[in-house]
Amino acid sequence: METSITERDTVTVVAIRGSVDSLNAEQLTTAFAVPIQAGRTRLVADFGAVTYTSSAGLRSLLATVKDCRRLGGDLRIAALQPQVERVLSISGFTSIIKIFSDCEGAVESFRAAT
Amino acid sequence: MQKRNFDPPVRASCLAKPECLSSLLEMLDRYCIQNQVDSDCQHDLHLIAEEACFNIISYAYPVGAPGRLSLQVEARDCTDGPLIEITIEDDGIPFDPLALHLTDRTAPVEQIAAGGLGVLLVRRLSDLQQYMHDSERGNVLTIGKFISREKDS
Repeated sequence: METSITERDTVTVVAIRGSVDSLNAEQLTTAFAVPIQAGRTRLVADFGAVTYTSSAGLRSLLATVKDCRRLGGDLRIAALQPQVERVLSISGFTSIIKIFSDCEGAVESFRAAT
Repeated sequence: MQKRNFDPPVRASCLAKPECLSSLLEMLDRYCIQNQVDSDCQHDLHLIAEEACFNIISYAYPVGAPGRLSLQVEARDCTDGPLIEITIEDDGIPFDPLALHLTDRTAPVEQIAAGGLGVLLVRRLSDLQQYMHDSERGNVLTIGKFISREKDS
Protein backbone atom coordinates (compact mmCIF):
# COMPACT_ATOMS: atom_id res chain seq x y z
CA MET A 1 0.00 0.00 0.00
CA GLU A 2 1.16 3.50 -0.84
CA THR A 3 -0.16 6.88 0.20
CA SER A 4 0.42 10.39 -1.07
CA ILE A 5 -0.77 13.71 0.28
CA THR A 6 -1.97 16.73 -1.68
CA GLU A 7 -3.09 20.01 -0.18
CA ARG A 8 -6.14 21.59 -1.78
CA ASP A 9 -6.56 24.95 -0.07
CA THR A 10 -7.98 24.05 3.38
CA VAL A 11 -8.51 20.39 2.46
CA THR A 12 -5.91 17.62 2.57
CA VAL A 13 -6.33 14.75 0.12
CA VAL A 14 -4.76 11.45 1.14
CA ALA A 15 -4.59 9.24 -1.94
CA ILE A 16 -4.24 5.54 -1.22
CA ARG A 17 -3.10 2.87 -3.65
CA GLY A 18 -3.29 -0.91 -3.26
CA SER A 19 -4.76 -3.12 -0.55
CA VAL A 20 -5.42 -2.07 3.03
CA ASP A 21 -5.21 -5.07 5.34
CA SER A 22 -4.22 -6.22 8.81
CA LEU A 23 -0.53 -6.02 7.96
CA ASN A 24 -0.40 -2.44 6.66
CA ALA A 25 -3.42 -0.56 8.06
CA GLU A 26 -1.22 1.07 10.67
CA GLN A 27 0.62 2.83 7.82
CA LEU A 28 -2.70 4.31 6.73
CA THR A 29 -3.43 5.57 10.22
CA THR A 30 0.01 7.14 10.32
CA ALA A 31 -0.57 8.79 6.94
CA PHE A 32 -3.79 10.35 8.20
CA ALA A 33 -2.10 11.46 11.43
CA VAL A 34 0.47 13.62 9.62
CA PRO A 35 -1.95 16.36 8.46
CA ILE A 36 -4.05 16.08 11.64
CA GLN A 37 -1.01 16.75 13.81
CA ALA A 38 -0.27 19.77 11.61
CA GLY A 39 -3.74 21.12 12.37
CA ARG A 40 -5.27 20.12 9.08
CA THR A 41 -8.45 18.26 9.96
CA ARG A 42 -10.42 18.48 6.72
CA LEU A 43 -9.38 15.25 5.08
CA VAL A 44 -10.44 13.45 1.92
CA ALA A 45 -9.40 9.81 1.56
CA ASP A 46 -9.13 9.12 -2.16
CA PHE A 47 -9.93 5.40 -2.53
CA GLY A 48 -9.90 5.37 -6.32
CA ALA A 49 -6.89 3.04 -6.41
CA VAL A 50 -7.80 0.88 -3.41
CA THR A 51 -8.72 -2.63 -4.45
CA TYR A 52 -9.34 -4.21 -1.06
CA THR A 53 -9.87 -3.34 2.57
CA SER A 54 -10.44 -5.49 5.61
CA SER A 55 -11.66 -4.48 9.05
CA ALA A 56 -8.20 -3.16 9.82
CA GLY A 57 -8.73 -0.47 7.19
CA LEU A 58 -12.15 0.28 8.61
CA ARG A 59 -10.67 0.74 12.08
CA SER A 60 -8.16 3.18 10.65
CA LEU A 61 -10.97 5.16 9.04
CA LEU A 62 -13.03 5.10 12.23
CA ALA A 63 -10.18 6.34 14.41
CA THR A 64 -9.37 9.06 11.90
CA VAL A 65 -12.93 10.33 11.50
CA LYS A 66 -13.29 10.48 15.27
CA ASP A 67 -10.07 12.50 15.59
CA CYS A 68 -11.01 14.88 12.79
CA ARG A 69 -14.50 15.55 14.10
CA ARG A 70 -13.27 16.02 17.64
CA LEU A 71 -11.02 18.77 16.30
CA GLY A 72 -13.77 20.42 14.28
CA GLY A 73 -13.01 18.83 10.91
CA ASP A 74 -14.05 15.66 9.11
CA LEU A 75 -12.83 12.73 7.04
CA ARG A 76 -14.66 12.08 3.79
CA ILE A 77 -14.13 9.28 1.32
CA ALA A 78 -14.02 9.47 -2.45
CA ALA A 79 -14.12 7.09 -5.42
CA LEU A 80 -14.77 3.77 -3.75
CA GLN A 81 -14.29 0.67 -5.88
CA PRO A 82 -17.39 -1.61 -5.85
CA GLN A 83 -15.97 -4.35 -3.65
CA VAL A 84 -14.57 -1.87 -1.15
CA GLU A 85 -17.85 0.05 -1.10
CA ARG A 86 -19.67 -3.18 -0.37
CA VAL A 87 -17.44 -3.85 2.64
CA LEU A 88 -18.09 -0.34 3.98
CA SER A 89 -21.80 -0.77 3.40
CA ILE A 90 -21.98 -4.17 5.09
CA SER A 91 -20.18 -2.84 8.13
CA GLY A 92 -22.40 0.24 8.39
CA PHE A 93 -19.66 2.69 7.54
CA THR A 94 -21.59 4.30 4.71
CA SER A 95 -23.84 5.83 7.35
CA ILE A 96 -20.90 6.95 9.49
CA ILE A 97 -18.65 8.63 6.91
CA LYS A 98 -19.69 10.82 3.98
CA ILE A 99 -18.86 9.21 0.67
CA PHE A 100 -18.48 10.85 -2.73
CA SER A 101 -18.14 9.41 -6.20
CA ASP A 102 -15.03 11.42 -6.95
CA CYS A 103 -12.32 13.35 -5.20
CA GLU A 104 -13.41 16.71 -6.55
CA GLY A 105 -16.86 16.31 -5.10
CA ALA A 106 -15.46 15.39 -1.71
CA VAL A 107 -13.12 18.38 -1.67
CA GLU A 108 -15.91 20.67 -2.82
CA SER A 109 -18.20 19.45 -0.03
CA PHE A 110 -15.91 21.09 2.52
CA ARG A 111 -16.07 24.40 0.67
CA ALA A 112 -19.85 24.20 0.46
CA ALA A 113 -20.02 23.81 4.23
CA THR A 114 -18.11 27.03 4.91
CA MET B 1 -27.73 -30.87 -10.88
CA GLN B 2 -24.48 -31.78 -12.57
CA LYS B 3 -21.66 -32.12 -10.08
CA ARG B 4 -18.45 -30.28 -10.75
CA ASN B 5 -14.94 -31.56 -10.31
CA PHE B 6 -13.07 -29.72 -7.63
CA ASP B 7 -9.47 -30.04 -6.54
CA PRO B 8 -8.84 -31.94 -3.30
CA PRO B 9 -8.78 -29.76 -0.17
CA VAL B 10 -5.60 -27.91 0.72
CA ARG B 11 -4.32 -27.33 4.23
CA ALA B 12 -1.44 -25.47 5.82
CA SER B 13 -0.31 -24.74 9.34
CA CYS B 14 2.00 -22.10 10.71
CA LEU B 15 2.70 -20.15 13.84
CA ALA B 16 0.05 -17.57 14.63
CA LYS B 17 2.27 -14.61 13.66
CA PRO B 18 1.45 -11.72 11.32
CA GLU B 19 4.27 -12.60 8.92
CA CYS B 20 2.75 -16.05 8.39
CA LEU B 21 -0.65 -14.79 7.33
CA SER B 22 0.24 -14.04 3.71
CA SER B 23 1.21 -17.62 2.91
CA LEU B 24 -2.12 -18.95 4.20
CA LEU B 25 -4.09 -16.39 2.19
CA GLU B 26 -2.05 -17.07 -0.94
CA MET B 27 -2.90 -20.77 -0.61
CA LEU B 28 -6.57 -19.85 -0.41
CA ASP B 29 -6.33 -17.51 -3.41
CA ARG B 30 -4.56 -20.15 -5.53
CA TYR B 31 -7.18 -22.74 -4.65
CA CYS B 32 -10.00 -20.40 -5.63
CA ILE B 33 -8.34 -19.56 -8.93
CA GLN B 34 -7.63 -23.22 -9.70
CA ASN B 35 -11.28 -24.05 -9.02
CA GLN B 36 -12.50 -21.10 -11.09
CA VAL B 37 -14.31 -19.36 -8.26
CA ASP B 38 -15.66 -16.01 -9.46
CA SER B 39 -13.79 -12.87 -8.44
CA ASP B 40 -16.41 -11.51 -6.03
CA CYS B 41 -16.48 -14.80 -4.11
CA GLN B 42 -12.66 -14.90 -4.12
CA HIS B 43 -12.60 -11.43 -2.64
CA ASP B 44 -15.08 -12.36 0.09
CA LEU B 45 -13.30 -15.61 0.95
CA HIS B 46 -9.95 -13.83 1.19
CA LEU B 47 -11.48 -11.24 3.50
CA ILE B 48 -13.20 -13.88 5.64
CA ALA B 49 -9.97 -15.83 6.04
CA GLU B 50 -7.93 -12.72 6.83
CA GLU B 51 -10.37 -11.62 9.51
CA ALA B 52 -10.62 -15.02 11.15
CA CYS B 53 -6.90 -15.73 11.05
CA PHE B 54 -5.84 -12.29 12.25
CA ASN B 55 -8.15 -12.53 15.23
CA ILE B 56 -6.32 -15.70 16.21
CA ILE B 57 -2.95 -14.05 15.63
CA SER B 58 -4.01 -11.11 17.78
CA TYR B 59 -5.81 -12.79 20.65
CA ALA B 60 -5.53 -16.57 20.83
CA TYR B 61 -2.10 -16.85 22.45
CA PRO B 62 -0.10 -14.98 25.07
CA VAL B 63 2.08 -12.20 23.67
CA GLY B 64 5.38 -13.60 22.47
CA ALA B 65 4.18 -17.21 22.54
CA PRO B 66 2.30 -17.85 19.30
CA GLY B 67 0.93 -21.32 18.77
CA ARG B 68 -0.57 -23.20 15.87
CA LEU B 69 -2.77 -21.66 13.24
CA SER B 70 -4.17 -23.99 10.56
CA LEU B 71 -6.21 -23.21 7.50
CA GLN B 72 -7.97 -25.74 5.30
CA VAL B 73 -9.86 -24.89 2.14
CA GLU B 74 -12.23 -27.28 0.44
CA ALA B 75 -14.63 -26.89 -2.46
CA ARG B 76 -17.49 -29.32 -2.72
CA ASP B 77 -20.94 -29.78 -4.02
CA CYS B 78 -23.79 -29.58 -1.52
CA THR B 79 -27.50 -30.04 -1.94
CA ASP B 80 -27.82 -26.24 -2.05
CA GLY B 81 -25.03 -25.85 -4.58
CA PRO B 82 -21.24 -25.64 -4.76
CA LEU B 83 -19.57 -24.40 -1.62
CA ILE B 84 -16.14 -23.33 -0.45
CA GLU B 85 -15.55 -24.34 3.15
CA ILE B 86 -12.79 -22.70 5.17
CA THR B 87 -11.77 -24.41 8.39
CA ILE B 88 -9.50 -22.55 10.79
CA GLU B 89 -8.01 -24.19 13.84
CA ASP B 90 -5.88 -22.99 16.71
CA ASP B 91 -4.79 -24.26 20.10
CA GLY B 92 -5.36 -20.99 21.92
CA ILE B 93 -7.80 -20.16 24.67
CA PRO B 94 -11.29 -21.49 23.92
CA PHE B 95 -13.17 -18.72 22.19
CA ASP B 96 -16.31 -18.68 20.05
CA PRO B 97 -16.16 -15.61 17.77
CA LEU B 98 -19.71 -16.28 16.62
CA ALA B 99 -20.99 -15.54 20.12
CA LEU B 100 -19.45 -12.07 20.10
CA HIS B 101 -21.92 -9.24 20.64
CA LEU B 102 -21.64 -6.81 17.76
CA THR B 103 -21.51 -3.12 18.44
CA ASP B 104 -24.39 -0.86 17.44
CA ARG B 105 -23.37 0.80 14.17
CA THR B 106 -26.23 3.26 14.44
CA ALA B 107 -24.81 4.89 17.56
CA PRO B 108 -23.05 8.26 17.23
CA VAL B 109 -19.59 7.80 15.77
CA GLU B 110 -17.93 8.89 19.00
CA GLN B 111 -19.48 5.88 20.73
CA ILE B 112 -18.84 3.26 18.09
CA ALA B 113 -16.29 0.71 19.16
CA ALA B 114 -13.82 -0.67 16.66
CA GLY B 115 -14.12 -4.13 18.12
CA GLY B 116 -16.15 -6.80 16.41
CA LEU B 117 -15.78 -5.44 12.88
CA GLY B 118 -13.91 -8.51 11.70
CA VAL B 119 -16.52 -10.89 13.07
CA LEU B 120 -19.27 -8.75 11.56
CA LEU B 121 -17.70 -9.06 8.12
CA VAL B 122 -17.19 -12.81 8.49
CA ARG B 123 -20.85 -13.28 9.36
CA ARG B 124 -22.21 -11.07 6.63
CA LEU B 125 -19.96 -12.27 3.83
CA SER B 126 -20.48 -15.97 4.48
CA ASP B 127 -23.45 -18.30 4.31
CA LEU B 128 -22.62 -20.85 6.98
CA GLN B 129 -20.69 -20.50 10.23
CA GLN B 130 -19.93 -23.09 12.87
CA TYR B 131 -17.70 -23.13 15.92
CA MET B 132 -16.62 -25.98 18.10
CA HIS B 133 -13.91 -26.62 20.63
CA ASP B 134 -12.27 -30.00 20.61
CA SER B 135 -9.65 -31.33 23.02
CA GLU B 136 -7.52 -32.53 20.10
CA ARG B 137 -8.15 -29.92 17.43
CA GLY B 138 -8.64 -26.92 19.72
CA ASN B 139 -10.78 -24.06 18.45
CA VAL B 140 -12.34 -25.05 15.14
CA LEU B 141 -14.11 -22.35 13.13
CA THR B 142 -15.79 -23.48 9.92
CA ILE B 143 -17.06 -20.93 7.43
CA GLY B 144 -18.96 -21.82 4.27
CA LYS B 145 -19.74 -19.69 1.26
CA PHE B 146 -21.78 -20.76 -1.72
CA ILE B 147 -19.91 -20.00 -4.88
CA SER B 148 -20.37 -19.55 -8.56
CA ARG B 149 -17.74 -20.20 -11.11
CA GLU B 150 -16.15 -17.71 -13.50
CA LYS B 151 -17.81 -17.92 -16.90
CA ASP B 152 -15.83 -19.83 -19.45
CA SER B 153 -14.00 -17.44 -21.81
